[in-house]
Amino acid sequence: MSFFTANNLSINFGGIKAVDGVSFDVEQGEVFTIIGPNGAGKTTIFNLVSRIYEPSGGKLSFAGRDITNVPPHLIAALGIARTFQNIELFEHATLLQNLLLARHAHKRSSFWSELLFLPSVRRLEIEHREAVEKAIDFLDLQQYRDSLIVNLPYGVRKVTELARALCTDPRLLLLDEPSSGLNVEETEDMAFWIQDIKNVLGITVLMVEHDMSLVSAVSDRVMALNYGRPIATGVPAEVQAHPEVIRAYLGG
Amino acid sequence: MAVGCIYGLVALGFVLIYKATELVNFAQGDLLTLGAFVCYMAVVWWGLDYWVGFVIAVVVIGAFGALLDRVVLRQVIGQPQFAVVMLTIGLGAMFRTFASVTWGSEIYTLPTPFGGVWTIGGVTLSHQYLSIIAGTLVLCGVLYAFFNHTRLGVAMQATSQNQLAAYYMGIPVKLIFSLIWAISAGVAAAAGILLAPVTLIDTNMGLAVALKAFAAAVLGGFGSIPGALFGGIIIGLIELYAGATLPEGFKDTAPYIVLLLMLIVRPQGLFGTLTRKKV
Amino acid sequence: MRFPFKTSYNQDIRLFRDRVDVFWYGLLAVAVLVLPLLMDEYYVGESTWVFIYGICGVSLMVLVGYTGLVSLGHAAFLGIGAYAHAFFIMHGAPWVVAVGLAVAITTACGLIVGLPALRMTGIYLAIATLAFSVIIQEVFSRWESVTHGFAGMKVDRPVIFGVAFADDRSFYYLCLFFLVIVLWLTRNLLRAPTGRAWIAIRDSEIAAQSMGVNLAIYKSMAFAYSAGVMGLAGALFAHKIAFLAPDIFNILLSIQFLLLVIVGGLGSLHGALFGAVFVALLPPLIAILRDSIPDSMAEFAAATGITPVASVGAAVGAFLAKPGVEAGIFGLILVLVILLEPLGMYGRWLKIKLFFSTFPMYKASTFKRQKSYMRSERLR
Repeated sequence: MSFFTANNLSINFGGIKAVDGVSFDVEQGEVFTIIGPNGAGKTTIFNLVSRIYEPSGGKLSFAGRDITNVPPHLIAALGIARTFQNIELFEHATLLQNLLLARHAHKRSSFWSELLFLPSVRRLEIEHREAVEKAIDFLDLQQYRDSLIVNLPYGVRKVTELARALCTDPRLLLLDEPSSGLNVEETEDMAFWIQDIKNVLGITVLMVEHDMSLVSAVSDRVMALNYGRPIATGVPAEVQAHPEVIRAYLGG
Repeated sequence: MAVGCIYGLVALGFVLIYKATELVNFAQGDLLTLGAFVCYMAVVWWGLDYWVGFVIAVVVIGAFGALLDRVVLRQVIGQPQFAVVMLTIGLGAMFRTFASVTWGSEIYTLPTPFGGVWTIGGVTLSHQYLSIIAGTLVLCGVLYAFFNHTRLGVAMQATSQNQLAAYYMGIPVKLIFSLIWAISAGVAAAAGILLAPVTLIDTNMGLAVALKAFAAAVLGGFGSIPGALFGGIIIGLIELYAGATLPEGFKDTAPYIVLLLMLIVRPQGLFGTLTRKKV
Repeated sequence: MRFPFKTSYNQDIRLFRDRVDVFWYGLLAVAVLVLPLLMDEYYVGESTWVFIYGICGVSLMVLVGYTGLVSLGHAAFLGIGAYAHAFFIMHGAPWVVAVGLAVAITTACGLIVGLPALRMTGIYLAIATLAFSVIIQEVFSRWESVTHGFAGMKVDRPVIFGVAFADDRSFYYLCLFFLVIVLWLTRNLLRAPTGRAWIAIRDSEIAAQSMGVNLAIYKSMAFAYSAGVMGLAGALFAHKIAFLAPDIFNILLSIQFLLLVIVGGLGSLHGALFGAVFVALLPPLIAILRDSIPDSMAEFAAATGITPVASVGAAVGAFLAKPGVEAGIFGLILVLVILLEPLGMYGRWLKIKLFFSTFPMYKASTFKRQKSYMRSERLR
């Protein structure tokens, strides 16, 4: 049994099969990337995995557990975290508050103890803060700690999303187009971080990405998708050279 | 039924503005009051014909709506919906104060040419109520034709679908917004004049109607024009039957009870569609 | 400009940032404690409104300012709290028990309203709460065995553990005490995971959900907490107003609460207090102006010989005396605040503070608003 498995996953939107019988598995410790032209159903797969969409067919399993029917707010507690393509940060909160919120899956204090702010709550808050500071150090976000997200540049927001996902202590990290909107240097930084996440933190990464240089730099395996169906899976070079993939991109 | 048509018309005004600019105009009811007052001034104080007064009131209030958009509401585009709702509530309060300072707190009666009654098969139909229904039908017909068969109307539809794209296609988006406000305010004024013989004119007539009309718009699914009219008529009918058959006190609350139950079952309204944000 | 030097994580969790903050808040505390001893009893009574509205403001701030759920029907919760409290007092319950029951009942009502509200957003939620408050208002006027309907209900000043809070001064301190308690509890929640979850729901429901926030639980919690605090405010309100009638708790009062949080500044507890000061003190201020402007203008005219000034003063006085003008002034201020200072009085306060702490280096563009296109809120 693989670490993460999607089996015959499907979803329809008003008759259109956005994802049509996709199966793949991700091994522990690898970077698995999904590529494909616009509208191929890549982000939809992410939304299915993080349970925002209800699949119309198929099964998802993670670490030996069937997660097809787990409600979306419990996904984080299982160890699956995600980022969003169009940045979904909490804009009118500080960066620190954003990251602390990511610790929500590990919340252990009750409403009543929080109401009175008992010493136990304070102790737990400091524990959360320590975990958050690790992510801040890892991604070099110290200088922005107390800034509101609305005041931060796009590149920093993108990194903040990554940091927020890391703060949930995930075992599987879903990155939805981590390089979109970033310039060349920022994309390079992103590539290093993804490698570090895999090698240093030992987190398995499932990624959707358009930037082929980033894909080939960090991915262990790649799956190409077109019209909601997988057309090729393998190491990056293999998939890139696959005639079907070339046809999908060039529209032959 | 007739009062339901008025709710429908005012709800239509809400929906027009909402569809186009995503603002919810809480001052709609007070525009209705102002419309009735302007018509009253024209007819009673200046001795003009009813129809002339009608046109004057609709034009004046329409122009006022456009002015509101230019001066006030354009400033808040892009701000949270909630802030804008509060802004229009504030504007409504100002109009109410304006009305009560200008016209005092007396109750006025607007003379109309619809005095008679028709008796068809034992059912008495007063011309006043018929005039409301007819007026609603005519207004809806005109608006329907305008939106579907004129360049400007289609441009307005395009703008409400996608502001930026409309702008790129060379549609003067700002002007369109002002026009939509003008139409919506004009419709409110017309509704006020039609309603005037039934409820009489006073400074708070609009508020009560607007609250019900708002419920009507939500009932129909905010953003759907047929839904707004349909919702208005439903609310009017519920009110009528609750007033006639249920114990005292239910006349005013029954529409809200129905609305609440409907929202629990179908949170997007009868004709609304549930849309999801893409992530 | 002060830069607090942080050496422990605790510093970000504490109630007050540093000693300077403690000093200023201490000074404020001393001022509100000492002032009633120096003021005329009438002004003490008016100031009490600040505290009651302050509690109402905190209630609505949690819901609107922090969780992003708009309620157009909060006057209903105030009414439920007020009537429940008065009912239990009348039937001989001790004051503390009556307040406790009133808060419990409003909290339960908040939960009941909150549950269907979970599926609604924006305008639908606003209208649903509005419908709720219309229905509740009707209940107040019809359920005569409890509320005495339109005949009304008289409420005496509280007697707690045998201590009577009969005069305005002692009642002032009672309300102040409860405001401080509510502020402390709310601040505790806001610096804990619950408060962060609320903020997260306000800014992005989808992200909040993916980070493990159970939307249903936290939204209904916000509703229940907000309603409970409103219930407490209602109990104090009943004593303050001394006579309960159903039409007090109408939609205009709900709107006034929304006005309070907006004018004060959304998304901060300071804002709730600034707003409360504004809403509570504007009516007496208008009354004072109404009485004093014609006289002082007439005096000015007599002294300088410019007679038109006197008639202008008289006209202003007459205008302010007309019925309904107060609502219009509230409306005008609301419009101006949203247009000119969307962050409310608290936002303005922060700007003034920054101006003095960075003087003469203040840049007006620090707070410049970005030009924005219309952002669709249809897709939530």
